[in-house]
Amino acid sequence: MAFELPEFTRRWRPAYEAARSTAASGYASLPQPVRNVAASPLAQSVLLLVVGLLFLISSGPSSYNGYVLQLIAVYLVATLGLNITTGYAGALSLGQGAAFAIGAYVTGVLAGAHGWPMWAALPVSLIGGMVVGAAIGLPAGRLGIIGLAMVSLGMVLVVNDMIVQFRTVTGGNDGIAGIDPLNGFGSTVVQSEWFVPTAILLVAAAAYWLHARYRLSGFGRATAAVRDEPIGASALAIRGYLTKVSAFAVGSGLGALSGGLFAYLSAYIAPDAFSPNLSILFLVMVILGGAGSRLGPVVGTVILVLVPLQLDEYPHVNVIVYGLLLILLMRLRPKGILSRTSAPAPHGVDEIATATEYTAPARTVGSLVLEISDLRKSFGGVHALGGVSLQLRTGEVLGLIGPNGSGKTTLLNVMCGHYTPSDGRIELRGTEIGGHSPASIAAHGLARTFQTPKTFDGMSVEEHLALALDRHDGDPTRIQACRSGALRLLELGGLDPRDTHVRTREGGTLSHGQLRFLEIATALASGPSVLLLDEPAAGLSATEIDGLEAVVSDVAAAGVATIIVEHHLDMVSRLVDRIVVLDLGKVLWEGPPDKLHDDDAVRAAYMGVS
Amino acid sequence: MHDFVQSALLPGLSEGAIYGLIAVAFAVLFTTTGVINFAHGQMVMLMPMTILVAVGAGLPVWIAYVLALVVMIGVGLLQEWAAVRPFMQSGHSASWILSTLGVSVVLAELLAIPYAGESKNFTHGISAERIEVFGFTTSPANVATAIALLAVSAALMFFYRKTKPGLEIRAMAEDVDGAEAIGISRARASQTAMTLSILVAAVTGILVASTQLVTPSLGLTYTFYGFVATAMGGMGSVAGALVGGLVVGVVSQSAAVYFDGLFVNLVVFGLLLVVYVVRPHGLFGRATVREV
Repeated sequence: MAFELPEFTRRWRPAYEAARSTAASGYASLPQPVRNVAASPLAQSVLLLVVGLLFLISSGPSSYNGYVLQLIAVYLVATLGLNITTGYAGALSLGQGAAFAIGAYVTGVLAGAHGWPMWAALPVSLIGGMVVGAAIGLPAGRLGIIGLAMVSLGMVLVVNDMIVQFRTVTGGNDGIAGIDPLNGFGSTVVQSEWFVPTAILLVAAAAYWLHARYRLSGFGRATAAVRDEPIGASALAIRGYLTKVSAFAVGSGLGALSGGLFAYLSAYIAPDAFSPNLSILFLVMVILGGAGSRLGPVVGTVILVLVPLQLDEYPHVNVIVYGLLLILLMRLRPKGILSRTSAPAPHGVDEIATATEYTAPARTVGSLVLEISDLRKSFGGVHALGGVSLQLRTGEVLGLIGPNGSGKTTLLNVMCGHYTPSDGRIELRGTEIGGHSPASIAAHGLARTFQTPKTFDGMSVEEHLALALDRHDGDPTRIQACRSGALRLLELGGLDPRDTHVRTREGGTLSHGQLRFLEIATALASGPSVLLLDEPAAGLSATEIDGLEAVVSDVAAAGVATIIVEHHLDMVSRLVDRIVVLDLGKVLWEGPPDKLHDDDAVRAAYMGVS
Repeated sequence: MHDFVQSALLPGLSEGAIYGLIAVAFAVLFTTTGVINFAHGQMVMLMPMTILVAVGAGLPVWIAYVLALVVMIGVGLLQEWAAVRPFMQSGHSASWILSTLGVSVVLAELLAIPYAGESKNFTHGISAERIEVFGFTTSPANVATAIALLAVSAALMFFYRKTKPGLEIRAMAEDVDGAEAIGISRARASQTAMTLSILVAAVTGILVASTQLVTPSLGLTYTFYGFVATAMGGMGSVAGALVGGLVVGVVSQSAAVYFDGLFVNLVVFGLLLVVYVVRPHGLFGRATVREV
């Protein structure tokens, strides 16, 4: 019996989706300047601050409602941090509670026992959390999601023990009492009952600004790309490791800052308050609101502070509720309430959208740009490449064909740094690149596409282009030709970047053909000197193939050296200057396309004619 | 030397056998469904807790055992249906980590209801009386944990290699679609794997309760220790789980004896990091080739 939900649970979905899409398209039809302001982190955080302050003024700083508001703001700082780690970088952290506890104790000890003022204690908490987060994130290069989840869970268990263990500092199970804001080092307690609530709201608003800004930056965009498709990101010269470590560091830093605020809010901390359940609660808040969405954590935190408070009179029920909620969410709406994870990136895409028409000159073959000599690659005893040599010149289009298993994709993967060559040399623009990382090879001017498009499901069309545009180098004519080619490909795939609705669509909502065009356009937008296309025509219609052919030909005329792996021989024959036939990991034949059918060995190996 | 054997090695092996059993149960479920059950630690605690509650309600001990087993299998299959099968071999580890974590939160809270989360003494298991063996002091319960680990591992290997359901769930582990195409039911395979891991949890629960106080809140800690054993031995390997569990047990017991009980988690955490740095796929695991 499959997991089937009762009918009534499905009834609300169409209505919800309809409401959501109406709201989304209503937003998209607003004029650009209005949207720019609405989406700006500064405007959003100021709005949050104003709403919070108005609520605080109306309810009074020492009232119960005022306390609830402060608790929401405190937890929000932690969930915003966790959203950077889990939402932006996709690393599931079960350890946000550990960062929270560390921050609470750092502030508790400094402010409670050593008489530090708030402005000095909180930054130390923040930095402490960042250090711990970076330490959890350091093994991220070697660990998958499961490993990182476990390491962060272990962190929670360890931190709780350490709090009890170092009882001379932390007060052990008795905790630390009397954590008050001071006027200066060892000075008197701030008398105003407005001081702590206002400080909490200010910090929360600042944390929101930082968190949203993080995602909108080029680095945040790279972080999301690595989350969605690490290999595709590496082909755009993005180094994944740093994005994960940074997400852990900043995320835990905010977690610790939140803990510091919590210490001031409750004025007393003890180990009981930092059980593993707290970490899970933070996680449910982020997942419920929508991991990776900038406003999601706000929604999730508000709901999951308010609902359990309503259930407070029934012991155990509030915890069981969020446990059940987690199971249900994973079944019904794993992406949470606000499921949109892409961020606006209007500036870069304008460069593409305004690319001027490029009239290609006649194609001429220029200087040597890529040289492969006697390249070998073995997997155990299997010799996938047994000494391949080939040259590629600027402006040249090379067709790489051969039967399945002949080593075409392996050759591409070795060139791009996904596999280390067993022997031989690869020189790109005079530099040996064999064994370099995919990102550094891509940064050296090599762009590629994959057999199945490695695009980014949670990022919009404009963000894809912005990722490629984050790098600029090379010849302006070539860049202009590439941009203009990218624009034509996007139009061909029905992805005209001048249309706001289209350019904000997320990769996950596009069809296979559209993703293919998006991927090639993205690869082109970076203005590469060498372009590798792995079966670009698979699954495209005849008109689409014609359009693709024209673009590849035009960018080649502007100097881009292209290798195209393709089974579609008609297209290859029309497009390429030269064909290399691979068979069993070796170059079987090399020559102009019109001579291909004359060779007996090629016909035997590739076309099955004897 | 005698001291080390008496105070660290023997109790460590007994303790480690428990982590080994948890890791074995992880391997059983993981090979077939690709899911690691984050609620397994709570499942282990559920067995003795149900028996305690049933006996407390006046039932004879043997009926309490039967009842506990029924409850365990019921809860296990419910979890399998709600939180495991939908994510079977899906590759989206975040989904099942969160759904089984949800189950663990619910179970942990339910377990904290009967005795307000206090530790309880369990007297319905294997005797923990001291006995002398070759000049070393131990107890039948401690000896039983080691025997149970070996017996359970041997029984599982027999099941996987010699019985039809065993072969079927191994086929499912290799290739879900392929196995379904030749008529093996995905649901049945997942249920079988879950039931097996629950039976292992039941045995583990009795052994835990016989060797120490029943502390319901320790569920997550057991999950973590079991996972460290899994990481050490290699994901999805029964033999690896066995060895990994024993190593974790001896290391943690040594830490408890030579440092302080509160450093045990720290040392085990360190062990996990060392495993990841030195041998990320474990002692018996296969390194995966990166696919592009």
